[in-house]
This record gives sequence, structure tokens and C-alpha cells, in this order.
Amino acid sequence: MHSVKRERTSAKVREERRRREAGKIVEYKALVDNFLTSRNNHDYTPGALSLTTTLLKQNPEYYTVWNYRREILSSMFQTQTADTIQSQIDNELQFLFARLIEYPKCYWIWNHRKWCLQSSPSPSWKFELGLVTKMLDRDARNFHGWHYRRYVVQCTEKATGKSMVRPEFDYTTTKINANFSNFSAWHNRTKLIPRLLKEEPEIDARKLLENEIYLITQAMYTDPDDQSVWLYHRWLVTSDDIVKLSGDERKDLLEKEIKSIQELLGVEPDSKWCLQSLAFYKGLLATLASESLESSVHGYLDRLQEIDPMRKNRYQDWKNQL
Amino acid sequence: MATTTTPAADSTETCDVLIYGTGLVESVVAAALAWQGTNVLHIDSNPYYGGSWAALNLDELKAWTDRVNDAASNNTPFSDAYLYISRNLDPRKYAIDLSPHILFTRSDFLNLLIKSRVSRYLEFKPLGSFHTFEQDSFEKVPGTKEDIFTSQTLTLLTKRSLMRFMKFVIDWEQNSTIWQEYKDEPISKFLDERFGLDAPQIVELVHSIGLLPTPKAPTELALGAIKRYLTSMQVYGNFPAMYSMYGTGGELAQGFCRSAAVAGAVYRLGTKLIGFDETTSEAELDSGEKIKVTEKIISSEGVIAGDEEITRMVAVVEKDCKEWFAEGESSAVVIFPVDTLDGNRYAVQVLVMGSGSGQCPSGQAIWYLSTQESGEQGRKYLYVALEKLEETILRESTEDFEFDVNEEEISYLPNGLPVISSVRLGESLRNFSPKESLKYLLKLTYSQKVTVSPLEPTADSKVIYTIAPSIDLAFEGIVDQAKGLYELVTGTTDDFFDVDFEDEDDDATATAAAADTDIRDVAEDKDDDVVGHHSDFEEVAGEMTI
Repeated sequence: MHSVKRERTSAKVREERRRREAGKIVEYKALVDNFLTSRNNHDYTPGALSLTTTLLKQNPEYYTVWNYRREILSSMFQTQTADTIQSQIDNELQFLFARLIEYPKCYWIWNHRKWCLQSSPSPSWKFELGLVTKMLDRDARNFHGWHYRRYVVQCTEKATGKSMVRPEFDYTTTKINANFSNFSAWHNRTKLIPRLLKEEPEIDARKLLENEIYLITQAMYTDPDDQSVWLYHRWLVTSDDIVKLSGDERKDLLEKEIKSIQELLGVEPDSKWCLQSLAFYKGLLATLASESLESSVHGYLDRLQEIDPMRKNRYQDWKNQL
Repeated sequence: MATTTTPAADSTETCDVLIYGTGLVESVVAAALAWQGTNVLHIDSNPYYGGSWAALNLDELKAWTDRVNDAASNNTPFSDAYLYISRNLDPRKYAIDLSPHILFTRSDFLNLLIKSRVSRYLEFKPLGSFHTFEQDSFEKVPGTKEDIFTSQTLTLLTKRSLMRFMKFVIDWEQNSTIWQEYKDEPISKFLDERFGLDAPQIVELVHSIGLLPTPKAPTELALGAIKRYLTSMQVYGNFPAMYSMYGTGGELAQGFCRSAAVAGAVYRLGTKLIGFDETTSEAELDSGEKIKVTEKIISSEGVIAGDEEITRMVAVVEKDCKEWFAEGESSAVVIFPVDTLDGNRYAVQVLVMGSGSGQCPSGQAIWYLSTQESGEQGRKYLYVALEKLEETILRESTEDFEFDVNEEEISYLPNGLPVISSVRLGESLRNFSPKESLKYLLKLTYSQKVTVSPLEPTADSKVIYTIAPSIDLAFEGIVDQAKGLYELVTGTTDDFFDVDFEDEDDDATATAAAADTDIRDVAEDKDDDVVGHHSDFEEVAGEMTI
């Protein structure tokens, strides 16, 4: 009859789960024992390969198993034709794809994929770019993805002889517009801008710097608590890789940015990043202008010690060095 | 679907609860009671489900108009219906929503739909396009961090103020020190004094995000409404709301009726309740039958009337209106704020339903307009809004819009984007006279009594009356009302929809368990390693700090 009330005893559920897991643990331990024995015996047969498959499906973080898998594959490749090798690699890539979906942040999976492409007679960089783009759609902040993307782009450029700096730069713009809280996207931008300026000399570097500062200022005001924004801002203001600014130009830039941040501090008086940046930039300004440090810097550091007591000794250290 | 029992020659039927009217709230209660084993007889005088929430085809709509205008016998919340229908329309190709509503993705009603599994009977579509009518054009509302960041029109300080407010409002209940003293004051006052927001932002927050009728709405109420929109973004995608196809309310009511029938409730449409004898506890139907009611009667007809009257207009146009829809969507909300239509005291809210909603054939769209202003004034403002909608759709969908721009009128933003002087653009747009005109296939205006301030249903006898639908464009208070009625019948809400659907596999029970938890708990990402969805304005877990 319907309308029977459901009684959920959590203790019962927990016991059930423990029983199931106990079984799985015994299974897993057997697999590991098997693997260790196999490897010690230098077993490079297809049986050994499928043993590593089973193990890695359960635990892709066990990097030794990946090493063993590569040993097996390398040994197999020695006696196989290029076509056979290619189809084995394709199988590997498919296997890795399924693993990546489940564990997108596992170093060893990305690493093995890289090894596969390096061992592949004819790697498809187009496919790889599509794959990493999909992974970054799922999680734009996955630094493994970004790192892999740089690798793929590099290989593509080598294979085609064509630079991808412009489309990659636009890609970071798209990702940042969607969500600028993204260390990797900003980082990638810092790598791309110097290359972009070198490869497209018609770009006005100063205009680009101005645009980037406009962009980062929008982000700063939208979310002053986002650290990635401040890191990028600092790069923009201090880097020599965008525009070679003269001493005076650098000073002007610093003063302009200090003013902008002070305005933000005015509406967000407890903003840790505003205070830190102001202390740093004012310090930098003083060094450049060979002037004595403003007392305001001490003021900022005092305030930081109040609002960020976890790091008060760090700020004290900073004060001592002034 | 419903089974009709044929009473034996001289026996009286019995039921525990007789529900009169298949409106949304009553239908939820019917299902809730039926699943708890109550013997429910659910009847409706109409030949269709949904009552005041129904979506009608054109023949039903004509009949409805006649009924509603017959003051002597009208016991619906509706009155003063004026209907024009063009000839040669296939009546069955339309589903005109009498009381259209949208469903926010973070709402107790959606939770109930999932928990009760009624959602499985329905097809939902996303609604992410909310526009505010400002300076003769429809501006898309900035409701996410992305919108605010990329906006080319908001100043830096405005972006900061907006973001600060958004962050606060996500958790406003926890921060009563900030708003307590403004509790009953107008929300506009609170937004201005406490957050320094400017008029345009206040208008958008109040009208298009909060869906409130005026900026004078009390702060406590308004904050809840604003939070509802913002926390609903990103639950399922880049849209805060949804609606069900073929009629927003009627389909939901019918879904709950179906659920109730599965649980054993009996349904009779086209049946009137004409009397009830308190002494014998016998209800008399218009068929002559007498039903013995052992517990209660819940009636939505001849009812506690709401304290306010709103005005509604429905217009079916021969345009698909896709210019107003986001990609992959077939609907939009347009709000005309207070004082944008020659002195309107209340906003005019428009729900645009394209053919993708299943309510009309392709190449057409339905415009549902409503305002809290009543009577002649109400109709006047709806007509002004209608004109603006017409102008705008003709302008936006025309192919031959041209005007000359010379170099001086273009300036460039620091990031290189060219911008045409908005004054000049506005001028040209205002002077634009479209070469075509808009064809209306149907026009309907009517008044509706609604509840603005929620009334408590009273139960002094065996008969409980429900209250009329509320004014909100979103489904608000349905679950609370249903629970209230349920409690009046059973004495408790503990077992309200606490149902074991008797599935054998783990998956199904896992779904039921998941539905028990608030969707928010599932969506919140507390683990740095697990990718989840979270509101733009909440703290992101696991930030790196040096």
C-alpha cells in the first residue's frame, strides 16, 4: 500500500556501506599485490596491461602504476608497426579521456596523455586543443588544463609553423569575461602579451597597456577580494615586458594607479588587497623617486595588522624592512 | 485519467475530503492528502483543470469570457472581460494563460515539484531574458558578476556598489543589523541610503530583479524578492527562472491532480457543488447526488475575495519576437517601471511567450501584460505599454533600419570599442517610423481579484475556503498555502508529501533523498576539488592566498 512512511536509520545505512567497502578494500589490495609481483617479474604482456587498467580505474593517483603501464607499452611498441602503435595510442587516449572526466585534476593522467602524444606517430593536435577547450569549459580554473593547453599550442605551432598567439590571447579574454576569478587565465595572458607585441609590431604597446589597465580596474572594482586580479595588476604596473617605460613614465603610472586604488579603498576601507597594493606601490615609488617613504605606508601596514591578524608578523617584517 | 464512480441506485457516496475547484493550491492539497491515504473527491465546475490558473483554448476562452461577464453567476476572481479574436484562427492551437507565472529555480515550489515527482509529468523551459524599459528601449538586466564586470555603461563606483549590495542580499536574513530599521520602509530608500545606489540601478533591482510593483515596496519583502532572482542564477544554467509548456499554472495544477489520482483521489470535472448541509455533512452536487463528507470541504469558489484588483491584457501577435529571447529560449520578461508610461503608479509587467512555449503556433507570440492598477486606469496603462511593445518589436525586427552617422558622433572607449553618441541614437530611434504595422490576432483585457497581503484561510466549520492567487509574477506562497490548508484538515504538516514512492532500486530512493535536501545544498561547492555551481556573489571556497 502506498503512503508507508520511510524510516531511514542512518546507522543501518552506514553499516551497510562499511560492509560493501570492506569487500572492495580486499579486492583492491589483491590488485596491488598482483601489480607489484608483475612488475618485479618484468611482465610486459597484455594481461599485465589490463591489470594496470583495472587498477588505474580505481586509483589513478598511484603513479607507479602509470610508470609500469608505460614500461609495458614501450616494450610492446618495440615489435609493432607504426599503424599498430598508432591504434594502441588511440586506445590509450580514449582510456585517458574517460579518466580525465572523472579526475580532471590528477597530474599523472595529464602526464600520461602527454607521453602518449609524444610517442604517437601522428598526433592530432586539433583534437587535443578541442579536448582541453572542453575541459576548461567544465572548469575554467583547472591549472592542469591551462598548462596542457600551453603544451598543445606549442606543439601545434611547431607542426604548422604558424603562431597561435592572437587566438590564444582572445581565448583568455573570453574566459576572463565569463569569470575573471581565474589565476590561470590571467597568468596565460602575461605569457601571451609579450609574444603578441613582438609578433604584431603594429600594435601600440602603450595603448594595449592602457586597455589592460582599464580591464583590470573593472575587475578590481567588481571584486576587490579577488587575489588573481591584484596579481595581474601588479604585473601590469611593474613589468618591463609590455612597454619599456622611462623612470618618469613608471612614476606617473604608479601615481595614477595609487590614486585609483585609494578611491577604491575609500569605499572599501577594509580591503586587504587595496592596503597591501598601496603599501607596495608607494614603497616602489619612493625607491624610484629616491624619496623617503610616506608615513602612509606605515599607516597601511598598521591597518593590515588590524584587519588581517593571522599575518601580522609578516606585516611587521615588512615594516621592519622599510 | 480520473475515474468516475457510478453510485448505486440509492446509496450515498462518502469521502473524507471534498475539494471544489482544481486550482493550483487545491490540487497540491489534493495530492498531499491522497498520498497520506485520505479519501479525496476532487471536483471542478469547469470542463477543464486549473480553475483560475488554467490555460484555455480559444473556444474555452470565449465561454469563459461570457461566464465572467455574467455578474449574476460569476464566482471567479475575474470580471470585465473584453475579447477580440481574429477570424480563421484554429482554436486548439492556442493555450491562453489566465494567470501566467514563472518558476524560480531556487524556490520551495520547485523543490515540491521534484519531491512529489509531479515535475516528471511536465516539460520545463528556461527563462533568462529580463528587460527593463528605460529611455525607450529594453535594457537587459545585469544580474551576474559577469554582466557587471563586462558592462560598458556602469561606472566603476556603481559596479562596486552593486556588487556590494548583491553580496549582502544573498545572505540578507543573517545581517539584520543592516536592514532592521528599514524593515517597513520603501526599498528605494534602503538601497539609496544604505548602499548609495543610483536611480537606474534601483529601478532595475526593484522592478526587473525583484519583480516588485513599485519602489515603495517594504524593504524586508523586497530583499527576499531580489535574493530569489540572484540565487536562482546558475542553478541549472544562465537563467534564473523556468516555466512549464502549454500553460504555466494549469499544467502544474493538472500534474498534481494526476498525482492525486494515482494516489487514489477521484476526479469529476463539469460538476458543481450546489449546497452543503452542516447537520448531515452531506454535499449536494448539480447532478443531484449527495456526498457524505466525513472531514472537510475545501472550496475555491464563492471565496474569500482578495483585497486588490489587478488588470490584465493578453495580445497574440503575428511576430515571433525572437529578438527579445536569449539563445535557445522562447520567452522573455519586460518590465515597465513606475513612471515610464505617462505617470503609472505601478509597474507594468509583461511576459512574452513565443511559440516555443507551446502556447501558440510558430511565427506568433503571446504578450501577457499585467499591472496592479485597477479599472479604467489599469487598462489605460496596459494600452500605453502595448504601444511601446509594438514600436519596439517593429523597430528591432525590421530589416530596413538605417540612419546616417558621421565621424564626430563616434567616440571610443579606452578598450577600443566604438560608441555612438546615445543622444543621437536615441533621436534616430524615436524618429523611426516603421513601414509595417503589427497584426494582432487576439486581444483580451480583464480584471482579476488577487491577494496582495496574504490572508489566513479561516476554518470555523467543515468548509474551508482558499484564497485567490497572489499578485507576484512568480509562484509565491503556494507551498505555504497548501500546507496551511493541509494542516486545517489533518492537524499537522509533518507528513505533508512525505511519501515513499515504493521504488525498488537504489537510484530512485537516492533521487527521493536528494529531493528532500534543498537543491542549494547539492549545488553549493564546499570542496575545493569538486567542481560545482555557486552563486557569483558567494565566497568562493578554496581560494589560494600567498
